[in-house]
Amino acid sequence: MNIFKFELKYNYKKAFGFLITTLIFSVMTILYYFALENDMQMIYDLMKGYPEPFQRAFGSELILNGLLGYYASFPMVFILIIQNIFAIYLSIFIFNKELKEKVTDFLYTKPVKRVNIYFAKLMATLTIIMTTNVILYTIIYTLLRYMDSFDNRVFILFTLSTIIIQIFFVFLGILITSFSRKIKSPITISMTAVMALFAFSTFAEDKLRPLIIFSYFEFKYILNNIRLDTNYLLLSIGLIIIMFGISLIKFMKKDFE
Amino acid sequence: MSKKVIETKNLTKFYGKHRGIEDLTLEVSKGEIFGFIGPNGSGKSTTIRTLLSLIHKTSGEGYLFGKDTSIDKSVLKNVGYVPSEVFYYDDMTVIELLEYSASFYSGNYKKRIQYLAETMELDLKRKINELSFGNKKKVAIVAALLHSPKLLILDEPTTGLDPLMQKKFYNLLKEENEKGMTIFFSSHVLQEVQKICDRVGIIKEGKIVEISSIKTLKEEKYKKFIIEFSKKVNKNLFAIENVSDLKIEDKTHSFIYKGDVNNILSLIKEQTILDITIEEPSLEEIFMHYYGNE
Repeated sequence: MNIFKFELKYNYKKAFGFLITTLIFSVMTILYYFALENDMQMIYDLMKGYPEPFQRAFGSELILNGLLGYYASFPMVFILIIQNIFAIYLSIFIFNKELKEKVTDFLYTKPVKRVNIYFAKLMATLTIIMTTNVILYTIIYTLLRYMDSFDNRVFILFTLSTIIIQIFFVFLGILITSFSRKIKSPITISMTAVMALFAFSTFAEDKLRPLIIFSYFEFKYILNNIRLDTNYLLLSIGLIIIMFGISLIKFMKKDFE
Repeated sequence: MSKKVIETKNLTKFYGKHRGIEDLTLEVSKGEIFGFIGPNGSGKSTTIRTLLSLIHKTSGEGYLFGKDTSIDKSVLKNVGYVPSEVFYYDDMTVIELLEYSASFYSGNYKKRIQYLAETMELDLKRKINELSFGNKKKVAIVAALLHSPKLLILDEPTTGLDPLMQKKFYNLLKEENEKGMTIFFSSHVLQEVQKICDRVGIIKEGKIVEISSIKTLKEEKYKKFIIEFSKKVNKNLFAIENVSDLKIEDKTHSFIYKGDVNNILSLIKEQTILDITIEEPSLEEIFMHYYGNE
């Protein structure tokens, strides 16, 4: 419990900074809808002239589906990128902190099992991620509701898909840390991992879809079917469990030299 | 509880192909102050880190209070540890760090922290990142002692402490030892270990080369001689028992001798001497003597 509390105390400022930044960006881009509302067809036609990867990145056809379509096309794409950079950064930071600051001798000689340290750190990471999500999405939901009416289920599914992707990146961060001796710059690793996967998702062929987490939950599919693709939902859960298992085993066996 | 506070049997740790420690066997009994000496890279820290399960052994056995810490971490409630290099979470104050450290043990340690901080002249309100290396070492000492452990493991604990503080620290150790604390004191400074330890283990290249009481070690009387003669003398002048590491450069002979210095003085009384130095040999030089005798 003390490690959990310590991690919350140590990282809440980072979480607050991320939350404020994401909120400002989200609210501004969402409010921009008022200015673009009557020109969506023109924007769609304009985007048609751009390369396909660009259209896929911003789900150009979604833009014609009202407020939630616009939300999924623009604000959410950026929120998704920022959120996942934060998710992987936070997990790397929390799990790598003692290695980076050479404090392993302090923490890992306390009468606490390594497995408990792992779970305390994991719980702290997930608590921060979920708390920021609750605040962020409550404000976004309230704002969108104020602007227009829409199907709540679609918004919930959009949100759920982003949370699953975030959890994937949390465990990817832990996995990377487990296999590293020390990560000097968590932010570099985080940005590289997220941006590379996102870029890959924009031009990769359909058969490569299982390799790219960003392609698992297409907003167009959610909008049309009001559900998440079950196969990809199971695949993402499976990958999370595998990363959890491998990182835990590696963490238990790690030498702190 | 076992009378053997520390016990290792053929404890071995390899970092890939590189040797850390090999077949290390030693025992430390309850209430003992055990010195663990060896040059840098000899395996002192590896031994400690393996015992504390910071690193995992390759083979052999290592126990604290009869328990393997990689399996049973609860035994670490009775252990305090001062690492050789001290690093902490920089943006905390000293008291925040010590309170965080205390939170891992049951009990209220506020008075104990105050007492130890006063003894070690440590300002509890300062930020960790503002502290000098010596002050960080003091934080480590207080953190290791605050829960009154039954075993204190020290890895080069006096590095960074000024001589006055070192004296206070030794007094503190003696005080705790009198209350029953077992102390495992790792150092590369022989004189430091000789001051407070009952027994010493000498480690070189990952292997124990000697375990003996300080009394025995002192009786062995190692001395380093550097003698400059007025003219070249017989190369075999010092080819006697207990002389090792003999080096001859022109008219200067240097060597390590274990025994009564008068034996050497009687050998050179017929010679004209320009200069003579008789000094405490370094630990490395004593090691040379050990290997020379093997």
